[in-house]
This record gives sequence, structure tokens and C-alpha cells, in this order.
Amino acid sequence: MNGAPLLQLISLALLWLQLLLQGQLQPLVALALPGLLALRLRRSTLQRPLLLALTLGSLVLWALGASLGDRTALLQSACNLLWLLCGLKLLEARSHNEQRRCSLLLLLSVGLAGVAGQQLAASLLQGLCALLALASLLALEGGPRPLGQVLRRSGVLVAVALPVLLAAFVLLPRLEPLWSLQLGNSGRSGLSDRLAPGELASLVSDNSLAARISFAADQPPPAAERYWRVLVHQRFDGNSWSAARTEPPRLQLPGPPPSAPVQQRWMVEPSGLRQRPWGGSGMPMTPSLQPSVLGTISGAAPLQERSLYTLQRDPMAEVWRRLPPDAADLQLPPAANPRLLRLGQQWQQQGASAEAKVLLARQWFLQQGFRYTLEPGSLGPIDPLDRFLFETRAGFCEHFAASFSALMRAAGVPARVVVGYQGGAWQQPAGGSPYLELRNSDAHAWSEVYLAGRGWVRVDPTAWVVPERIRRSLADSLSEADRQRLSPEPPSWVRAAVNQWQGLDYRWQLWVMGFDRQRQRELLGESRWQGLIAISVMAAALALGLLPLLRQQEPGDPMRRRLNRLLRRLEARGYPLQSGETLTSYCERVGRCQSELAGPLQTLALHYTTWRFAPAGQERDQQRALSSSLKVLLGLTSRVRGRKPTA
Amino acid sequence: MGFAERLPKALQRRLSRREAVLQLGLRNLYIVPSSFGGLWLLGGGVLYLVGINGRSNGPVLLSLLMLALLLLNLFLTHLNLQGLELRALQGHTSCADEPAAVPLLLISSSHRAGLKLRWLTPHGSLQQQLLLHLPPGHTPISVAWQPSQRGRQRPGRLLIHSTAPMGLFRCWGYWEPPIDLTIAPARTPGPVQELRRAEHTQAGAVLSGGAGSDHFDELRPLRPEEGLQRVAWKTVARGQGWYGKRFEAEQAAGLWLSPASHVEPELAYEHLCRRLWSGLTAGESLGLLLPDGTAIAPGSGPKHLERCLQALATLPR
Repeated sequence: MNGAPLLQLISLALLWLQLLLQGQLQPLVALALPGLLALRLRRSTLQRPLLLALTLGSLVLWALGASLGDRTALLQSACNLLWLLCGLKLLEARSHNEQRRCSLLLLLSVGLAGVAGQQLAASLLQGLCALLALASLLALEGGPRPLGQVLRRSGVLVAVALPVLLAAFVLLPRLEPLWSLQLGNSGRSGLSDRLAPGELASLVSDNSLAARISFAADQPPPAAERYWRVLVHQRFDGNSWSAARTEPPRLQLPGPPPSAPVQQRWMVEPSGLRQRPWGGSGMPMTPSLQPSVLGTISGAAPLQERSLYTLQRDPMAEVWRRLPPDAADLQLPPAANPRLLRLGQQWQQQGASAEAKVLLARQWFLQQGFRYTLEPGSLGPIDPLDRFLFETRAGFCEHFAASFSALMRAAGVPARVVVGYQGGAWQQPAGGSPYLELRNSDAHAWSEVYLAGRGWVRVDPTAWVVPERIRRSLADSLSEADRQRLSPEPPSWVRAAVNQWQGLDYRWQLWVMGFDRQRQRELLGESRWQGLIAISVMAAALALGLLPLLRQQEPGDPMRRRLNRLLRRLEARGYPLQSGETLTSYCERVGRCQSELAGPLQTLALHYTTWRFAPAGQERDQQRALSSSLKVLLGLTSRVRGRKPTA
Repeated sequence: MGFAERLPKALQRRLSRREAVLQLGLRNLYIVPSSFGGLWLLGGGVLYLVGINGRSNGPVLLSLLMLALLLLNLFLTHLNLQGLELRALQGHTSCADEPAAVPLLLISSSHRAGLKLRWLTPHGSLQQQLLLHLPPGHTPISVAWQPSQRGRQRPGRLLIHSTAPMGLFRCWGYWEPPIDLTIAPARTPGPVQELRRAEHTQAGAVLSGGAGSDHFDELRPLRPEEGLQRVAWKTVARGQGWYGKRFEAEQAAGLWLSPASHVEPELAYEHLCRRLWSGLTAGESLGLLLPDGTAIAPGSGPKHLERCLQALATLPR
């Protein structure tokens, strides 16, 4: 097998690999595609009835799999069908036209794979697949050529098309989505709208990426200020905290002016939650994201794919902090956790202010000898917070946040539990903008209490017990036994390489995958001439790309053109080519007058003649020699001053 | 013939160039998207919609790359033909039962891939297509043209087209080279009138050459059965070996062929053409005596065959 079919085969094989690594392939397609590729590789010519039976069989099996599987993944099933059909088409295509359509089908398959896999590695593999599909088209039209030459030509073609592509990508006005199309895996962050003791502790072993944040001044906030809120739990049933059943009302804010400075840029991995992480300040530029009265921001639908949003500086966005509490912020089951209730009521009876009650609580927590651990053990279904506060005294952040908030409510201070992320690793990739990296292991829970005159204030009881958790990292705050439960740290060089790669990936996501209508407006502003500008720039880019190709169309081969250039240059210096003079005699004549050129000119005459009469198969070597001697002479003649020849 | 059939033919006539040398350029090349180009555009549009609605720039980038390549191919496909020079060359006589190889010279300054050349016939018979990947320089080629009858004929309109480099556009030009091809009758087996020298002289034809002359025309290695009277003694005396003399009269002593009288004339010419072709290619010495009075003395070799075929081709109907 050679040429186009081989290139198509390699392209589909790479696509299969990429989809397999992304987990996008259904079992049938994952197994069928390599089989089809192997059949094609063996040049098996299946009879038409057999091919038809194979196609029908595959379709029936696919339909069966699609109907038994998750109905919400119907679109993904349709993509799988296209990938399967692509393999079948590859097996069937024999004629020139069929093979061309197969290349087009491959490109469509690559495009659909691009919806699901947007990471840099996936995009690179998809780009390679597309390049091979394009090369197969060139191989079909360009006749028998070595594969390397075909690949080089397709690379040149893509390079020439690249300026037009970039102009169109950046400048062409973007359309808003007409409908929703989701192919990505529905991610899960581990955070949920219910917080039971022990839930977050199980997340620390999940080292997967949660979000990346870049800051306007390329400087992260201090470690003690890195609290990124996602969910607010207002309801407490005596056992666990949970979010309100109804969506909290959104704040109706006018929004900052478009010229307001950008504060943060967030890139969030799929979490399956409607709420998006943020620092509690700044106004989202995406209209569908609005802060709620609880200080959360949420989108219209659960986050099923990587999302990018920008926060603008806007003091109005922190208005949620000053909203007064309601009855729900003091709600507490009267029968659950009696000892906790008694302690809270005791603080209330002391008649202190809310601030003083927080200080009393802090003192109490510090005195009781609490232990921070990933394995606090089961607290049981009855009065779990009592068991934690007065018996085990060992817990993770959610134990501290949940029990402190309950204690505050018992003491008559409005309180709630906030779940999100704390900390993050500051990454500074070489040559790129630094960013803060949040992982699922950074998940954290803290409390918020309402203080008269100050509004909702963050209180983190975990920080009282283990200040290292906030100041440094989770690993530094754990005992040696607990540290074993964390994901093992890779060697430093691996970590550095991974960080660099993730930095590249981040930039790819930020500047290419995340370049949407909003980013386009940020970059270009609002212009009614944008379409015209886009077309003009595209035309200019096209002309720029075509220029070298047009020069190739000039009469004469490239070597002859270069020789003509040299002759013109020598003529300008007083050595015109005389009528009937051969190149050899001309070179000798000029060499006699210009001694420094004598050697190179003699070599040129020899190489030119040898190249012109080179036997088949040796032209390339001779051309290389001629090219280098022309280069030398063109370099020398640019420096040699004109000197009239002696008579 | 309906309007739909007449229109393309009228256009072809209008667009054809009749120069002896044709250089393809902006004024004589035409370009439209191919059907695959249409599919390509549709596929790109689908990918763009998928990308926009899937909030993914991967498919958007791919669709824009497809658009950029489409725009680029408009020029590349045109450039693949632009600047190519075509010249007509002199061809050999061929028979009506086989495609005539029409010789052309293509002059190109650069590599040109996927050039397709085909003659267009007014009667719509399918002509063989030639696919070329042209190197720079002068390239002689021959494009097959299937004649429908004997005589001096022009092959008509040559279509030169290309879809390279990616098949997205179809660029083409027409050329009517002023080439007159000589087409001999088709070679059909059948009866032929064969005449010996005596019969032929009786028929009143004029023969040249002096039979029995002492002036031989050529020497060839002596064969044992030729006898001593044919030995070229002078060459033997000079020690140059044994050679036999060959006389002109002897050469003219081959078989004369004439169309069978009881067969319809055109068919008789086809039989004659077949006999002539097979005989001369087998090394026989054959002459030709035609109804219009043309007589070609018996002879052999490719030049003689060419002369005979030309005579057959140009016979009045």
C-alpha cells in the first residue's frame, strides 16, 4: 500500500488513539476500528455483499449499544458512528473519487473529535490527523511521489494557508451558539451541594486539575487570602450541611463599564456543578454568570466542559457581603447535638457581641487539643458533631467548619458553611504568563458569620487548629501517616516538565480554545467595519502566501533564475555577457579581472555544466552543489566593488 | 439536439483557441469549483456550526483551515495550468481502426501535477484521457484521438484540464491545434486483388527501373542459393568479403495490390489497408495500384508503408 490510502490509514489510526486516550470511544467502535484498519493494511478486498453485511452488522451493533447506553450521550454515539463509518469507508474506497471523499470524512471525524478533546496534546494529535488527511488528497492528485515529499508539500500548503486561517480566526465576527452541543465527559469536582463530615477528606487523594487563574498584575493574592468559594451551605439537619433547595436569587447589578480593568481570568475544568469558583469579588464579564445573594456565581447549566470566564474589577460585586442574614442563617435542629447546643447557648448567655463569641470559639478550639487528620474515623449517624467536638476531637476541614457554624448559630450568630478551594500552586511556565493552579486536592470548607457593621466575614476554624494548612500546604499540615494517603509526588524533573507542559496547555486554552466572541470584543473592541477589515486582511494574507508560489511560475528553473541574478549583478559591475559567449569562457574572463572571484566562478561553471548534464537520479546532488556555489558568489558579488575590466 | 446539448458545444466553440502555439493564461483558462469542492465547503460549514455550538475552537479552526485551503486552491489550480505552452508536432499516418497518437510538445517552467488531456469530438464518442505529471522543460507527448473515418482530418478541440493540487476546483482550457492528420482506412481482413508484374503492365501502369540492368543498387551478404552471377567480385577482390548484388529491377518485382473489384470501394480499401499493413510489417515487398491511377512500385520498409497509407487515406470517395 502506498500514497493516499496509507496516509488515510495512519490518520485514522492516530485519531483512534487520541479518542481512546480521551475515553470518547464506545467499546464497539474502539474494537472495530483497529480491525478495519488491519483489514485495510492487508489490502483485503472484500466483496461488495460482504462489505455491505459488515456495514449493516456494525450499524445494528452500534444502534443496540446506543439504545442501551445513556440517552444523554446520544450525540457522542452519533460521533462514534461517524468514526466507525470512516473506518468502513476507508475499507471500501477504491476509486479516486471514493478516496477523496474518505479524506473529507476523515477531516469531519477529526473536527468532531476536536469538540470532545480540547487539550493541547489532543489538539496536536488532531492537527496531525488533519495534516495526514490533507496529504492524502495531495497524494491523490499529485501522482506517484515519495511520502516524505507529499508530507512536505502538505506542510507547505498549510503554512501558506496559516496567515489566512489566523486572520479569519481572529477577525471574522463570531456567531453566538445556535444550540447546545456537548460532547465532553461530564466531569465531577467532588464538591457537592451536601457536606457530610468526611466528604472532603476523601478528595485530597484526587490530584486532578480543578481550575487555573491568571491575575491582572501576574501576582497572586497572599496565601492567607487564597479562598475560592464555590458553594454556600445554609441548611443544617443536625448531621450534614446542604445548599438551599431553591436557587438563591441573583443580584441585579448594573455591571462594570466595558473599560473596567480585568481582575482575574478563570479557566475551570468540568465539575458537573452550576456554580463556578471565584474569589468573591469582581464581576463576571459573561452575561450568563451573575453573583447571587449568597456570594456564589452560577451558570445556566452544570459545567460539563472546560470553561473560561473573566472577572472585571467592580466594587459593586461584593454587595452580597453586606446583605443582612435571614431566618435560615440561624436555623438549627433543636434535638440534634445537644452538647453543641448547650455550649453555644452558654456563649450566648454571656451576652457578648458576635465578634466576642467568635473569639470565645477560637479560644475554645485552641484549648481542646483538636487534631487535623485525613482519617478522623466514623462519627456515626447520631449527633456526629457532638462526637467530634467532645469525644474524637480529630477531623478534617469540613468537621471544623460544620461544627463551628453550628456552634455560632447556637450562640445566636448567623453563620453558614462555604465550600470551595483554598490555596493553589503558583506556576510560572518558561516564557509564559504565570497562573495559580487549583487541584481537587485543594478542596476546602470554611465558615462565614454575619457581624453587625461588617457583614458576612470569613472565619476558618481549620486555620486556628493547623495554621500551616493555610500558610503553606495541605501536606505540611498532615502527620506522616496521613501524608501517605496523598498522591505520591513525582520526581522534581517530572514535575517541572509537567508544569511546563501544563503552562503551554494553559496558554493554548487561554488564547486559542478560549478565544470566543467575548475575547474577540476584548481584543478588537466594537467595530461596524470588522467584517470588512477581516476580509481585507484575509485577502492580504492570501496574497502574501501566494507570492512565493507566483515567483515559482516565472520562466526558467530556480537555478537558472539565480544564475541570471548573478549575471545581472556582474553586468552592473562592468562584466556583461557577450554574444555567443559560453558560461565557462565568461567565468574565465571575469575571473581574470576579479582574482577573488576566479576560484568560485570556475567552480560555478563546472557545477552548472555538471548539473545540466547530470544523469537521471543524480540531479539533486548536483543541484545542491550548484546552489551552494551560487550562494557563495551572490554573497561575494554583494561585497565586491565594481571594477572596469582592463582592455 | 436540444438547447442543453447545444449550449456547451457553442461555448466550447466560442472558448476554443485556434493558434498553432497556445500559451495557457488568464484569457483562455476557466475555473469552477468541482463537485468535491462543493462537498468540501459543505463539510467546512458543518464543522463551523459544530464548533460554534459545541463551544470548541478545534472544529472552528479546522473549518477555517478548510476555507483558507479552498481560497488558496482557487489560485493553485489555476497556476497549475497557467503559463503552460502547447505546440503541435507532425504526426505519422495511422489507421481508422486504432486511436491516432497526436504528437504535442508541452513547454513548462515548473512542475505541474495532474494534467489531463482529452480530445472532444463533435459526435460525442468517448476519447481516451491522458494523465500527466509534467516536469519542467520540454516534454513531447501524444494524445490519443479516435478517428471515425479515413482521410485528412483535424482532431478538433483538445480539452486540457486539471483539479490538482486537492481536487477542489476544476480548471480547463480548449485548443484547436491546426494539425492535419492522415488517417488510412481501417484494417479489415478481406479479399484483395494481387497482381504480378505482367498483369500490372497490361493494366497500363508505368513502371520505373531497368530490370536486368548491370547497375546494381545495393550489396548484401551473399546467400548460397543466389549463384555466382550475383557475386560482387570487386569486393571479393578487395578482400572485403562475399557480397551479392541487388538490382532495382529485382526490387520492383514484388507483388502489386489493388482493391478487389467486387467489393464496395470503401470496404475494399479497408481490406487493402489490412493486407498492405500485414505484408509490409512482415517484410514483404508490395506495391499499390489504386483506382485513381496512383501506382506505387513495390517496396518495403516503414517509409514505404507510410507512403502507401497516405495514398489510401487521400483516395477520393
